[in-house]
Amino acid sequence: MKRILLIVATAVTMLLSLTSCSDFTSPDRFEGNAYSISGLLVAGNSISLDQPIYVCRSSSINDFNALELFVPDATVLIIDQNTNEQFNLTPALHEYKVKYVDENNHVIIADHVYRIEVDIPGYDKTVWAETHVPVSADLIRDYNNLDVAGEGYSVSANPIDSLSYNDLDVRYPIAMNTGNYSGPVNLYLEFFCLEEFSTALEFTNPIFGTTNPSSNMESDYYEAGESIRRIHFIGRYTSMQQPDYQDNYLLVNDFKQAFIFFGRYRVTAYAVDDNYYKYSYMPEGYLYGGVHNGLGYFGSASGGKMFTKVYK
Amino acid sequence: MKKSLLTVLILTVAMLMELSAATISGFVTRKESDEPMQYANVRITETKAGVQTNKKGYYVINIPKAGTYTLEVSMVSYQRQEISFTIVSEDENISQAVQMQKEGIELARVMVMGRKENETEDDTPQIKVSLIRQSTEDIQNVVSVAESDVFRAIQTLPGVAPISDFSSGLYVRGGSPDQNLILLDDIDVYNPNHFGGIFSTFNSDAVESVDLMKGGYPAQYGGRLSSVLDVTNRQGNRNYHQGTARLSAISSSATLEGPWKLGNQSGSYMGSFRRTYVELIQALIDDIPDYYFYDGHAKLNWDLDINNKLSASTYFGKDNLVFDFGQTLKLDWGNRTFTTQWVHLFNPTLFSHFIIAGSEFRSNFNQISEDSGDTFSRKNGIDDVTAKGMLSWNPNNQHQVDFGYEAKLNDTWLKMKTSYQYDTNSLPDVDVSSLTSALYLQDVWDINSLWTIQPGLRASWYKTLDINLPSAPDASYFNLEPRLSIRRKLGLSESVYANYGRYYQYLTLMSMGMSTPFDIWFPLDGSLNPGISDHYTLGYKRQISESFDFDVEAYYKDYRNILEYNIATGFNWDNENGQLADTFHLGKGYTYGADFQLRTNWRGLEGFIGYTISKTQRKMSGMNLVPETGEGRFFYPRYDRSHAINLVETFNLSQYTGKQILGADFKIGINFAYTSGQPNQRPERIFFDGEDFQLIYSYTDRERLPEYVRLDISTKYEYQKSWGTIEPYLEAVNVFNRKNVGSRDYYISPNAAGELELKHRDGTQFPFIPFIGVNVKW
Repeated sequence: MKRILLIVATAVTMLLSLTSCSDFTSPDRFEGNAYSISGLLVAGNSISLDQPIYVCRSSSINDFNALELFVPDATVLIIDQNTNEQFNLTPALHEYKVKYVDENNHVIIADHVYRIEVDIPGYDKTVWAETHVPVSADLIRDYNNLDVAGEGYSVSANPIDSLSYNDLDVRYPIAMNTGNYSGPVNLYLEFFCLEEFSTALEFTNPIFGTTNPSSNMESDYYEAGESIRRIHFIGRYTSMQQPDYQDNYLLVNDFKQAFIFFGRYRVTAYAVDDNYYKYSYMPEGYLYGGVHNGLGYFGSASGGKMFTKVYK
Repeated sequence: MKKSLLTVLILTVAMLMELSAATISGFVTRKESDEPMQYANVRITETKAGVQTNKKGYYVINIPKAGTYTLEVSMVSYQRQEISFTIVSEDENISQAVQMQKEGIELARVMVMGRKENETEDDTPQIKVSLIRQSTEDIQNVVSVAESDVFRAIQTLPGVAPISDFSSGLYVRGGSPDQNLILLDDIDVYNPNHFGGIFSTFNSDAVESVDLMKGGYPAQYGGRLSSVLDVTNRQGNRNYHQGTARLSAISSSATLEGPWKLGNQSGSYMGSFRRTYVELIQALIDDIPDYYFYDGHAKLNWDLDINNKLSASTYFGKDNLVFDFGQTLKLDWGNRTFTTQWVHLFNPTLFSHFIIAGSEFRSNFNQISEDSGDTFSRKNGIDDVTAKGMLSWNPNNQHQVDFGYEAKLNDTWLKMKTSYQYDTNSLPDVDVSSLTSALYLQDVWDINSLWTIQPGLRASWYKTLDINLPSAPDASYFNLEPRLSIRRKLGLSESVYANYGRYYQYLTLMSMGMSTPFDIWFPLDGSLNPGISDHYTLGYKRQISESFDFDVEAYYKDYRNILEYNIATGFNWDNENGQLADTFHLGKGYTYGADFQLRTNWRGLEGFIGYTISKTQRKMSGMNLVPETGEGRFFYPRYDRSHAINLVETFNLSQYTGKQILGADFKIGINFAYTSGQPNQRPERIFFDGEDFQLIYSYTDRERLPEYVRLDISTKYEYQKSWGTIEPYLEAVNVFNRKNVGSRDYYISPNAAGELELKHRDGTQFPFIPFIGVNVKW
């Protein structure tokens, strides 16, 4: 018995001494300031207050101060690699955010490669990234040419056209015209409910017999990222010629389950570059958005947004 | 060099042959059913020479001189048998079958369970490293949700970590489920899970025994890096027909077994079938998924003659799940196996076991739209056809030479289709077939009464036969896998041992991290090297008394070329230019620790107390990245548990005291589990992504979730009737209703002062769940 106790005591002592200095967790991942870029260039548009570049200083959650989050004094340079044209962005305070915009309204051109270089005072590295803007893709609101007044998608939320839930994806598929281009495209779709949360909202498909959200779903509704309010999808589609059409199209049917509630929606359909594609689907996408010496993403897209009201 | 090796081999064989002598051999069976008794202790009183019966119940002992001897056969809970016999000449071979009778049947009702001192495994030549053997009764004594379950019982053993109440995946000594070789009647079972992980695929009534080898396994086994779970189906009662029926809240099962006789030929059969009826609850509660599973085991044995036994066994199981969320999801998956075995005695000292077997796993996923039919389908499967020969030669009592071969043909496919205008090159269309073959040789050499050495070597070949990906290179690998165990006896029932083994793995698993039926097995292509692991084990065993056994093992395992599924592949598959290396993170890892186990069989209290202390880390390319360098960093995987304590005990009140409660024999069971919290990632920082504030996360193991603590209790009443027994039972899982945290999700939310605050949402595990049921045996 003494021998057993001795062996056990020795083994336990050895193992405890091996492990006593550790709590079996890793140290903090980030030290000091970590900077991020967030920017999506959209073909046919300029870098504006609606589609700006953000330069942020990531802060620890305990020390979070919204005023210190945005870097207001960075030097942000955009270079069109196809034409070697360069232009600087200037900071603008808008909606309590510092947005970097192009005051000269250079239009982003499809199929061009853009580089961003950001120099931040006090940070000795240049944060940089490159994006290849996808080919031109035009969002088509009435692919089947039904031309029914008040039905379908509209260009703004006010006034807004409407769609019956039952057959909306059959009558009004999401379609993007890519012109002469046929081949793989990173397709990004977002379905964003424009209604504010209310227990009077109604599910399009009852969940376990429940037809309306309960009040404790409010935080889920307003949660950042993917939520019951904001369903997004990303996948590698193919643009191809469709029967009776000359150009090549990205066509999406069978998507009505993305409308969780009846009500007004904004639908975004983009062909996106690989940076934004990876940023969107990868866990910890901010590490894969193409940004060097920093976090976030610098991506580009072609496509557009449209609006509709989904009724029962 | 070759000449020298050949000379040594010939001399060794000649020496072994020269030492051959008279033998006594035969099969040991249970008297009540005439089924083979595995691992009974057999020895000659006068010479002290001893062995254990093998998996088929066979033993052989050499006797060097003529004379009269006594054969002793013993097994826990069975009456010791002593048979006298006489050897007349030194080339005589005596065949002696032995039937073992349960102690409880003819002895007084009140008894003390236990075994005689010195009846330990150390009496036997084989060095059993990291082996835990569970019988049907052991498995059924562990309290489980709804009904006893093989994997749930295994998860209580020291060195085995459960990842969640909802997963029956086995994480053995730092290994992941894909690194476990799971055998049912000697054929691989690939995804042994039913939906939700509450049930494993094996019905405990149909199972004879389960051997868990947590590491350092012998040369007979190969192809996986971490552990072996060897499950053997029951053969069925050879004396009379009998049955067992079980009825619980969510499932029922029935098992029938008995003898058969045709002319002068005879044998036995066993069949068991189980089905859930959760879908009946659908009649009461709308909108819950439509789900059921069924599974069955069957075995037919034919005792051809004393030297030949044939058997055929099968397993089949299927899960069906239908879920409606606007579109309809239809999922089904299942395993099927078929094994034919021929046990042949070339002579008393040369036992052989030949197997031809097949196994398949299929999973199907279909998404169906009301408007346009099938919108998405995913089909995955793996086929396995295996031939094995396992031979055991006992030239004398100092040597047991095991040798054999294995050839395994695998074919795996994954095919996805969609009606969406998806890039077809991005939808997996993969089909890989491969051949893995191996030869092994192992000698158990009892050098003297104190020392035993067990060297072994396994040579494995792996070759891809066909890959339909045009850019994936073919693979061809040959590897030698040495194994070595050494044991020193310290006393009659005490020993220390050390072990080293090298292991290779040629199949890998695409898994999302939890063990699910939609994990996909793939044979490696030439872009991936086989996984390698070296195991080092140091152990100590002692039978403290008739009622208590103690063992401790310290271990170290390293892992190289290990693979984890790269989730990004789901979005970046490339049939034209891709290879399997694109699909995985490649890395390395290690684990070390110690398992302690005290087994009790004392005054009606049967079970064990186990404690494990361990540390496991992995480093994978493209995972857990250091932001500055983009390199992977070592991390504690989700299944790492620094400390684990398990108490699994059953107290048979009636057998110990003779008292009955409510006119029935009464048994109470208790499971207590404590494990340290699982590693978890937590947010460290915030950034703005253009639309919202987003969280930046720490390394994957920045914190540990709260400890897991659970107490389960069961009570069973056994009413004896003239035709059999009725056994109603009541079980309670998590009796203190402790909210064990299974996962933690963080989010930020403004507080009353308008400041952002980090909050979290915990995914809990089993709440307090009572279960009732009844077992009927006749």
